[in-house]
Amino acid sequence: MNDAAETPTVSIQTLSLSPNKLTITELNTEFSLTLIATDANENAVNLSNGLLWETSDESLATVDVMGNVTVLAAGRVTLSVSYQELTDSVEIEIIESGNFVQGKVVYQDRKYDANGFTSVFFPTYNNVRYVTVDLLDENKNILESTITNAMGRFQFGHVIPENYSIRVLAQVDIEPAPGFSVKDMDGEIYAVTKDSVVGETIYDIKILHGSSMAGVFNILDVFVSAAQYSREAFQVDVEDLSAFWEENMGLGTYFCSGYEDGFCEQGQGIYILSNPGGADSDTDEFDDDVLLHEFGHFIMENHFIDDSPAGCHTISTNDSDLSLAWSEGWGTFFGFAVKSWMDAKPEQPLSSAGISTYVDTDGSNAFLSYDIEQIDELDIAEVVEFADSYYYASGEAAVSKILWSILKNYGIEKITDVLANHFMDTTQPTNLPNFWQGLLTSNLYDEAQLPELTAIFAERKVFYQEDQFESDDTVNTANLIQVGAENAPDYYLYKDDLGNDIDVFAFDAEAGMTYRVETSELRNGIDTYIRMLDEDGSLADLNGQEVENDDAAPGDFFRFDGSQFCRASRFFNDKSSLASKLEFTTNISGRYYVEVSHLSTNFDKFGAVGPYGSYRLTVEQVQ
Amino acid sequence: MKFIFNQCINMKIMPRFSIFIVLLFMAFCVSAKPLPSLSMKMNWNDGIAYEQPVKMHVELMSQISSEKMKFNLSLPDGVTLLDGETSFQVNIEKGQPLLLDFTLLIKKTALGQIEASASIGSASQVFFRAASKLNVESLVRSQKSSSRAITAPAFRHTDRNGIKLREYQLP
Repeated sequence: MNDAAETPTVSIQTLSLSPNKLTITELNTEFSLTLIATDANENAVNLSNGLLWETSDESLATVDVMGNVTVLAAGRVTLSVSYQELTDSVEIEIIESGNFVQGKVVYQDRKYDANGFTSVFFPTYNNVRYVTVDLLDENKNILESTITNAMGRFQFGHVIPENYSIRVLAQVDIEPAPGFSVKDMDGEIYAVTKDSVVGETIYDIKILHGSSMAGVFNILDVFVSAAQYSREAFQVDVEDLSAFWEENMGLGTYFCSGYEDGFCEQGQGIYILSNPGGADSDTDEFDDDVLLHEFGHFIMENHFIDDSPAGCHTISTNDSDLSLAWSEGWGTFFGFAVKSWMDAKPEQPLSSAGISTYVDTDGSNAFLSYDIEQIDELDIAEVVEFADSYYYASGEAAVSKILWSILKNYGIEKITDVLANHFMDTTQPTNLPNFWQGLLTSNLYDEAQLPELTAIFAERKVFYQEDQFESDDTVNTANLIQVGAENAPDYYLYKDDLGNDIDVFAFDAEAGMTYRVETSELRNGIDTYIRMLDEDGSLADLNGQEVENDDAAPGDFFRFDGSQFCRASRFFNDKSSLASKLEFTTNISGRYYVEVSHLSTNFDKFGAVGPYGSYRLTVEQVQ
Repeated sequence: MKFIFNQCINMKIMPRFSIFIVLLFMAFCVSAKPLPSLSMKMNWNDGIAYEQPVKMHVELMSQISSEKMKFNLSLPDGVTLLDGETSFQVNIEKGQPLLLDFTLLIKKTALGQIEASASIGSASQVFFRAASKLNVESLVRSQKSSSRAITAPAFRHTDRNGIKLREYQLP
């Protein structure tokens, strides 16, 4: 601290140092800072007294009462000057030229919009963050190793100028992503090396798109961002992820959970398609949304629980196994969540079309592109039986939209609580009805939010609430229906305070006639179970005829799909076989009762169905 | 209804499966990205021919019906369309293959690719797109042009304290 003794009499309005930022490359350098002071009339005032000069670190640089600076050692130091209530400062970066090798590593990203990659590369280079950097001698022996910081900067200390090489590994060994790396299909980690010239000490390493290595570092960068988000959102220690990418790897983009076969020869990891020479020219190393989708699977598998049978799937099908729909819907939602977080903390800029968009390119144009906020625009089917593609718990787009709406309304905590607590404790499979159950039993559940939550689900035609016919849980409160009635309404089985809902119906039958009672139009994963009841609520005795039924037809929940889209097996939510049917002949005329419930007794660790959903009930006289 | 086999780990250890069934299930242990809802195949009816009319066949399949699927065909220099249109809208129904035939005249000097694309979307955005390419380069041309092939960036296999690296040299 250096304080001049004399106090001036003029009134000073502004005080500023010039320059306000400075880089010094020579030690023991002396220089003066320029101080500009102005009075109330904006006239310059020459101040020589009453100034207080300070340095933040006297071991790096000193400053005397006249503002003369002496640089002593490498590092960052702030010099400040005060005059009465006014103050200003200058930040100085001191680099010991010749004794340090330092630099910055960046890669060239590709920007895309809803229709694919734009012709303009990303205007700025992205930093290569937290990766291992080696300083190599001319024989390629490692002299020192370090890591890049969040800005992609690295520094090796106190080395003599020689012929060096800098090697940058596509590998992160520290938080937020320890154990992350990008490897070829033989398990070798990618690296890039840049040679120096004698005496050169500052390296700015630019990994250009044309080098093909930019894609490798984009994969790593996207996964680092996803890891950062996951640590903050889920409070989990994200680590050890291998990404496998190699030019002309044409198998596809997918997450393998450790099972080794032709698809997953290197074990657990995310395998990324690169098939520019293939029929569809598809390559995914710059498709951030695709990469985040797969990272969502990685997080769910390693830190929560995922019962998906996996296999091929599309966003435009609404008949998937419920755990498959949940898992894939989660994967896409996870990308939206990460991008939403990144948008608020732009350490690395987004290269995607938008927060709530999913775009998959073929390396040039988008071949799958949608905005979850505008999901209804996709519902362009022209034939009735294929409508509602983006609805129901058995549709992955509906799952994504519901999770996205919950995130926007309540934050990720509401979702995390269900994943971390309910999903980990329950024996039931991970799917949308189980998630709903978790929401209602969550530590964060607020009954006042129920109408809003119900509306979020209902917007995707997922009805897990009371229908208009409740309360109809007993024969005394049974809902009277007409035999042969057309246009049966939808009834909902839902979760209420007493547990899982049952519905009881009554109909009037004539003696000696045969009736068929059946459920149909099952939605959102319900697996109905029907029983004929007596007036006292006990199981009816119809002279030995079948009086209870689970499935109307044998189950068909996976089958080989040889279409152009799949060419593998696909897991379904087979609504027709989950429906129930009874046929019986009556002995006497009178009122009959049928109870509809979900199959709670056998409810176990399977994913195709759930305990809630909607159905229709019809009673027909067949002879 | 009780299900038994929907966990990858279960599939792996279930000894009573036949090998065929196990192999069938193995493909499900990977969580793949969403598949496209529109696909395209394009080929020559009877192989490529030069300086004479040649038939080209395009087959489209969609998982969603649309009355306004856009189709576009892009031809390189030296290729003339004799029959068919290069750009039009067409109705496609879910699960029903849409077959398109074109007749072309290809000069021996033609160089490049025929590019076909189809898309379903709104006025402002493509939702689903499929594309395919066919080379038209003659054998003579391809022999001449092979010398122009781009060399892949050089890399070498190195070892870093026991860790295998695939190391690329930057310019």
